[in-house]
Amino acid sequence: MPRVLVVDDEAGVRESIRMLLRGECEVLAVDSVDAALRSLAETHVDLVLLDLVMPGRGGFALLEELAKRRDAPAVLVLTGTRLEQTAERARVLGAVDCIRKPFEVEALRTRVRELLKGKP
Amino acid sequence: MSPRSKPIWIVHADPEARALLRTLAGDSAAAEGAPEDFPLETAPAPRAVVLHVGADPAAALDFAYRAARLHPGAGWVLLRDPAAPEEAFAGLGAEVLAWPAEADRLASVLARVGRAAPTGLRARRQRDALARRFARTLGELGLPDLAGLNGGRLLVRGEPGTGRMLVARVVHALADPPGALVQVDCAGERALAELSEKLLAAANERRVVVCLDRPERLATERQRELAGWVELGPPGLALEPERSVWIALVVELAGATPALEPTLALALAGQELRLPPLRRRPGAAEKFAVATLRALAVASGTAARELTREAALSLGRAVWPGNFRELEAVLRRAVARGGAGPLGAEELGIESAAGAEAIEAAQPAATPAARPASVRPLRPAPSPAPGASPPPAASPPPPASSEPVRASSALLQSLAHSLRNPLVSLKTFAALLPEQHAEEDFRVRFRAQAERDLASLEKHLDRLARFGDLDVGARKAVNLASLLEGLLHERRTEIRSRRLIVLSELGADAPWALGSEEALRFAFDALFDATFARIGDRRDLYIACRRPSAPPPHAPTLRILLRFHGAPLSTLPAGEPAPAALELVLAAAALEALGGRIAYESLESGEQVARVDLPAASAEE
Repeated sequence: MPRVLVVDDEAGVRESIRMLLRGECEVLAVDSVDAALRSLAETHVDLVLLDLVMPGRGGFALLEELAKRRDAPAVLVLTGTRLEQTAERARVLGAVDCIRKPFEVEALRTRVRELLKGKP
Repeated sequence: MSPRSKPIWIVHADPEARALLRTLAGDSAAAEGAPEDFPLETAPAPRAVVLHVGADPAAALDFAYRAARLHPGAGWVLLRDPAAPEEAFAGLGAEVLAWPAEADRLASVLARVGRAAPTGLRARRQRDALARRFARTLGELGLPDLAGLNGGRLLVRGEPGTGRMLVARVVHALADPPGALVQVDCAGERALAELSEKLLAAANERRVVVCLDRPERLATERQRELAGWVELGPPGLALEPERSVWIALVVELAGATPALEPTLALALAGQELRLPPLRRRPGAAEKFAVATLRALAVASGTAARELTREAALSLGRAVWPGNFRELEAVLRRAVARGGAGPLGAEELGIESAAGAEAIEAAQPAATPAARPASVRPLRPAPSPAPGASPPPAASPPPPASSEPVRASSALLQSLAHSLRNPLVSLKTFAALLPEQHAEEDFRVRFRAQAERDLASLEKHLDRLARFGDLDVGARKAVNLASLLEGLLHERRTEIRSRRLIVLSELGADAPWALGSEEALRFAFDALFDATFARIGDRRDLYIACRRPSAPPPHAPTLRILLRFHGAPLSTLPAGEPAPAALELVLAAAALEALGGRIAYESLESGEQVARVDLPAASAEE
């Protein structure tokens, strides 16, 4: 089963995405960039769902870190900001897509399925 | 009672072990007992606490929590059983020994504790702050050999603003033991008399670090006299070489520097350290600017401003006669003017900053700190009553057309961020309801999540309503110690259940603020909410209140400091203007309406700091 890492400081967002994706993939959830880096060091992950605005290091810091790695997983950004340049910057740093919060459930599920296609 | 005359406390469940520890410490006045029945309230204040953490770590933690709160200046030594936890006691900053300990090691540590208190929590934090500033400014230069300075001399040369005084303070802080720092500006008319008086006052210190600022300004005869003091000791005072360090800070300015008299130069030059000016340190200006912009952003809770490539290049090309002090002032001014996005060379005013006028103006203490855009007072406060402390100096006003927009934007962004996240989970669960309703696990989770989200929304709305009702005009003297203790008392259940250690120093400095009690309660309640949401379990929260003995004119005169291990209070995604937490935006607005301000700092150690400055009430009030 493919593995998805959710990085969001809001427990409710992590919980709701866990419910959304259950049965389709294994969901790991962490509340900070530092915790995400620890998880990525310990576990293979196929896809990262990443919030940008978090206390301390924000999501861009993780994107910058992953941009240096050859085997980095795909990153789908979930953000509340409506600034187009934010999405553009995330894409420049390697994010495959940027979805606005609050997201449409089916749209997110479909996009995750596409990105996990072919993953064991 | 002086620190040395205070006893040590020996806390161990086993009376025989306590007797052994007392003997090893050589402190006949030591107070002792088991963690559960130690006479905390009646025992004399300790200079150090020796605590055994054994079969009942909860009892030891409970003792530590209560003792550290009562005596935050005491040093700590933990004697830890192999299976006992250590992390829960991390907030004490204790020296930890495995128990049972090797006799020699134990005797050594206890004998040291018996002679003098280990460095207190506050002193260690001051030392850490100094070390961080040193790393930011002079990190790559390294320090002179401290061991070689024992009984030695250090001559530091450099232009103004190159960090001469910082070197002296670091040498003093890192010396073991630091002892007294005797500092004299030799440009003063009574320099030698002042030095003699200060050395006499420090005569009983185990170590004295003498810092002579600008000794070249002394008359030639005086310099020769001073050379004799350095070599033979001041007249009538026993200042043995093994317990003294002499540091001379000489100002060098091309073509205009009075010469240091050769006799004095030879007497002082055990080691010589020449601090190069900023213009001769390639890359240093940009590196320092980036680090300073980050520090300013953390302090003000805003996103860090970056530098355009052009600005970075200009920094390296500029002359900087005032060196780091001048550059720091330029950066502070640029940030205080507001705006977003990378700072360009024009915004930094680099061309004009290189002139002599800029050097005179570039005194950091006179430069207002950067602060985030925030909401204006809902009901402006009236002028302070006669005799009241003046409100703080405001930052230079940003352009009139942008401030209301920025202030409203900060609140609205924060509000949108705070309300959006509960909506995300509510919306997602609601959308999943048709397909997962049959599963009990889903129903249970949905209900629990909905309750949390609705509680969160209600709390935000309640806070907004209270903010709207605040009357900041009702100013009077408010006892902050009582107010803050009350807010902590309201959180006592959470403090206990999460095993937090609260170290408070609130009552010693007459912490009376001038303001509306309702607004102050609102602001600190919001700040505590944000803090308690971020602090880790079993961690310590340090809260203190200070009233500076010599407050600067037109500045807040009361400072409240919160310090804890946990997630940062500021939200700083790189490259994006980020909304701060709603409670922090509203707390900042309430404090500013009272003439105060708040700033945050995130330390490399993982500690978070919030500093609140407020106008203090005068004695008449």
